Amino acid sequence: MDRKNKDFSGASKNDLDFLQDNQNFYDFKNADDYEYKIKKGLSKEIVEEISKRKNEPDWLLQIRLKALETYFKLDLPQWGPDLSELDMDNISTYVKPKTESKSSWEDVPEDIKNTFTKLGIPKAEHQYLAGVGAQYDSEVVYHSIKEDMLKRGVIYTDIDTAVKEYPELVKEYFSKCVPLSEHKFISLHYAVFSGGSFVYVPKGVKLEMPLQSYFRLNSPESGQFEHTLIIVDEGASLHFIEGCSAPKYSKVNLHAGCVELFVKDNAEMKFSTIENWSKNMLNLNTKKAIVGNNAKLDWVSGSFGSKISMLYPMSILQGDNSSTEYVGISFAGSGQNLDTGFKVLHIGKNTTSNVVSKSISKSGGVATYRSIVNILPSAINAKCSVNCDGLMLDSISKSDTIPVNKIACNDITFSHEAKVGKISEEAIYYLMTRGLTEQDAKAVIVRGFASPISKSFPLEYAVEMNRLIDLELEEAKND
Amino acid sequence: MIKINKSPVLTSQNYGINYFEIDEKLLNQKFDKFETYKIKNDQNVKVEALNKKISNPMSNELSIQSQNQANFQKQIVFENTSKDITNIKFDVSRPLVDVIDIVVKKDASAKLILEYSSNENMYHNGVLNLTLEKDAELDIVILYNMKNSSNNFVSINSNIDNNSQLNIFIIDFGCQNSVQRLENSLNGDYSVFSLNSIYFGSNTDNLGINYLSNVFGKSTQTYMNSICVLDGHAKKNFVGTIDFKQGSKKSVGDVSENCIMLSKTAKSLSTPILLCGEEDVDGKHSSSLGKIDEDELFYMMTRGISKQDAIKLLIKAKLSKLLNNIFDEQLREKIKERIEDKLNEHR
Repeated sequence: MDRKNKDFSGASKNDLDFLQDNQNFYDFKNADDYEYKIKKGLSKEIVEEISKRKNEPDWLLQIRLKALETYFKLDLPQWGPDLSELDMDNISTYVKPKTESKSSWEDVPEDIKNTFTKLGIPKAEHQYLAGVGAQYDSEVVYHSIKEDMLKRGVIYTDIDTAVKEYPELVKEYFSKCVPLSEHKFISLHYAVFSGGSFVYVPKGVKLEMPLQSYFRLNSPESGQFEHTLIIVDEGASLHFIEGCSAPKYSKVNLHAGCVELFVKDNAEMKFSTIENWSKNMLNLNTKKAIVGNNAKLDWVSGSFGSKISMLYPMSILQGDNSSTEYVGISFAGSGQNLDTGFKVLHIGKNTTSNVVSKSISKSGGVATYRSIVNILPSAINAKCSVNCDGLMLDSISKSDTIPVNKIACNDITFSHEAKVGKISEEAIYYLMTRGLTEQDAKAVIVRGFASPISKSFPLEYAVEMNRLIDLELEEAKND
Repeated sequence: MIKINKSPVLTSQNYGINYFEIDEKLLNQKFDKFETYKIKNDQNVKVEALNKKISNPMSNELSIQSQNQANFQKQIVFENTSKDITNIKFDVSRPLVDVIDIVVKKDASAKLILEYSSNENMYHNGVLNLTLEKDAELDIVILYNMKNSSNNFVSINSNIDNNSQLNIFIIDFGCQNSVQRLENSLNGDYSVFSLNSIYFGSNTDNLGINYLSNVFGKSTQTYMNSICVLDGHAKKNFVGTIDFKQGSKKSVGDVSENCIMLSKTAKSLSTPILLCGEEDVDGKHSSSLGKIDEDELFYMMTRGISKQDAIKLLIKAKLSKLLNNIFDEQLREKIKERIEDKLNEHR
C-alpha cells in the first residue's frame, strides 16, 4: 500500500492534504473592526454600560451588579495553574461586531461570514444540523433553526433575544444551576456576560439532529463571556454541540463562559464540545447540569487549544435513577497547561456516573485530570466508575491526575482507576515492521488511545478531532 | 483551628481535602520525662541518644514541639545485618513527643517493630526518620493501638539510596484524631519502597492519612496499598501520591486504597494522586469503596453463618492477605486478635 495515501482517520485525501497545508487553520484573523468596544478594565460603570446597551430588564442588571461585588470579594483559586498573568485592566469585556443577529448568512457582513465559512459552519448546518448559532466576539451574529423544529415548539435563539421574548422562562432558570458566587470567574461571567444560546425543548420532543453553537473571538485583548442556557423538558431529547476558536495574539485573551443545563425527568441530553482556542487564551469556563428523575446527560469534551484551561463540567444527579457519562480528551502541547476534569454530585437513589478521561502531553505541555466525585447519604445504591489515562510523548511534559472522591453513603459501588505512561515501544516497533514511519506509528497509536472519545462524537466531528490530533502531532515533530 | 498535614498538591478548597484541621488547644500539653518504654535489640544495633534536631513537616506548630519539647529521642543504627527483630514498645501512659532517627548502613538489613499503645486517652506527636544507605534493607512494622479519645500525630520521613529496599507496614486502630504523614524519597536507582497499611475508624474518629513517594531514581518501584474499615460516625481523609520526577526512567508505581464502610454515617474522602514528569514510567492508582458484597454475604449466610459473623469473616479475609506481609508471627497473631475485638465492636 502506498503509505502516503493511506487514510488512518477516516478523513479523505483532501482532508489529509488540508492538514499538511494548513498548520494554522484556526489562526486567521480579521481586522479588529467593531461597532463598539468597551474600555478595558472592570467597574460598575462598565457593567452598567453593557446592560444599558442591551436594554436589559432591571432584574438582570441587579444580578450583574451583585456578581461584580462578589468578584471583587473572592480570591483567585489557590490551586491549579498560575493565573497571575491575567490582568483585567488589560481586557475589554464587551466587543460588539458591526452587525445585529441575522437569520440568513447572506445578511451577515462579508468578513464575518467568511470566518464562519472557513470554519465550515454553513456547510455543517446544511448537511446535518437542526439549527446553528454563531457568536463573533461578544454578540451572536447568526442564529437559525429549521422550520419543522419551530413547529414542534423548539426554541433556539440567542440569550439576549430570549430575555426579551421569553422573560419568564429565562428568569425561572437563569443562574439557578450555576450560582454567581461559586468561584471568582463565574462572578466575573455574570457581571459582564454577553451572547450565548438559549434552548428550550418542549415535553416529549426528541430532536434527531443536533443543534450547534460556534464561538469565535476575533478581537485582541478582549474576553468572551457567553451564557448558554438549555432546558430539555420532560421526556425530550437533545444533542447540543459547541465549538470554539480564536486567532492567536501576543497578549492574553480571556474566555469565561457559562453553560447551565436542566435535563428534566425522563429526558436525555448530550453536550459535545470541541474547543480549540488559540494558545494565548485563558479558558476559565464553567459548565453544570441538573439531571432529573430517570434522566440522562452525557458530556463529550475535546480540549486542544488555549494557553491555560480550567474546565470541570459538573453533573448534579438530583433525580432518582438519573445517570451521567463524561468522556473527555485533552491534548497539551508546548506552552499549554490544560487543567480539566469532571465533577459529579450524586443525590438521588440508584444514580449512575461513568467517567472516561484521556490526556496527552507533549513538547513541555502540562495535562492535569482533576475531578470530584461527591456521593451524599441520600444516594442509596449509587454507582460510580472513573477511568483516566495519561499518555506522555516526551520527558519534558507533565501529566498529573488529582481525583477527589468524597463518599458519605455505604450502600454504593465506587471505583477509580488511573494510569500514566508512554507509548509502548513494542507497539511502535510492530507498526514500523508493517512499513509505517515512527511518526506515523505514533500517530496511529495516539488516535487509538483517543478512539473511545472520538467514537462519542458524530462522525464529522470525530474527523475534526482526528485532524486536531494530527495537527498537534505534526507540531510536536517540528518542535 | 490550625491546618496540618497539607497535601502535596492543592486542589479545590471547598471539600476539606488539602489539610487536616485540629484545635490548637490540643497541642497545649505538659511533657514530663517519658520512661514507659522497652527496647529489645542485639549487638548489631546501636541505640543512642539523638543529638540533632529533626523537623516535623506535618506543621510548624508540631515541628516546634518536636524540636523543643521531645521527651523521647533516640538514634538507632543498624551497622550490620541483624538476625533478631528489634522491638520498641511504648506504653503511652503520659503525653509523648518522640523523635527517632533510624539509619541502616550500607549492605545491612534489619527488622524493626514499633508499638504504641495506651490505656488512657493520650497525646502523641511522633517523628520517625528512616535512612537506608546503599544496598540496605529495612522491614518495619508500626502499630498504633491508642485509646478512643487519644490524639495521635505521626510524621515519617524516609530516604532510600541505590539498590535498597524499605518495607513498611502500618496498622492504626484509630482514635479521636489520628493523623499520619509519610514522605518517602526514592533517591537511588533500583530502590524499592513498599507500604502496606490498615486503618480503622469508629465512633467519631477522624483519620488523616497522607502518603507521598517522590521518585528520583531510575528503575525504582513504589507500591502503596491501603485498606480502611470505617464504622460509626468516623471520618477518613486519605491522600496517596506518587510523584515521578523527571529522570526517574523505567520506574513503576502503584497506589491503591480500598475502603469498607460498615455504617451509613461514616464518611470517606480519598484522593489518590499521580504526578508524572517523566515519560518512561508506568504509574497506576486505584481507589474503591463500597459495602460488603451482597452475593458473598448471602452465600455465607446460606451456610448458616449469621450476618454479623459473615461480615467479620469477609473483612478478615480481605485483611489477612495484607497481614501475611508482617514478618513476625507473634505480632501478626496479636494484630489479628485486636482486629477481632475491633470488629466485635460493630453492631
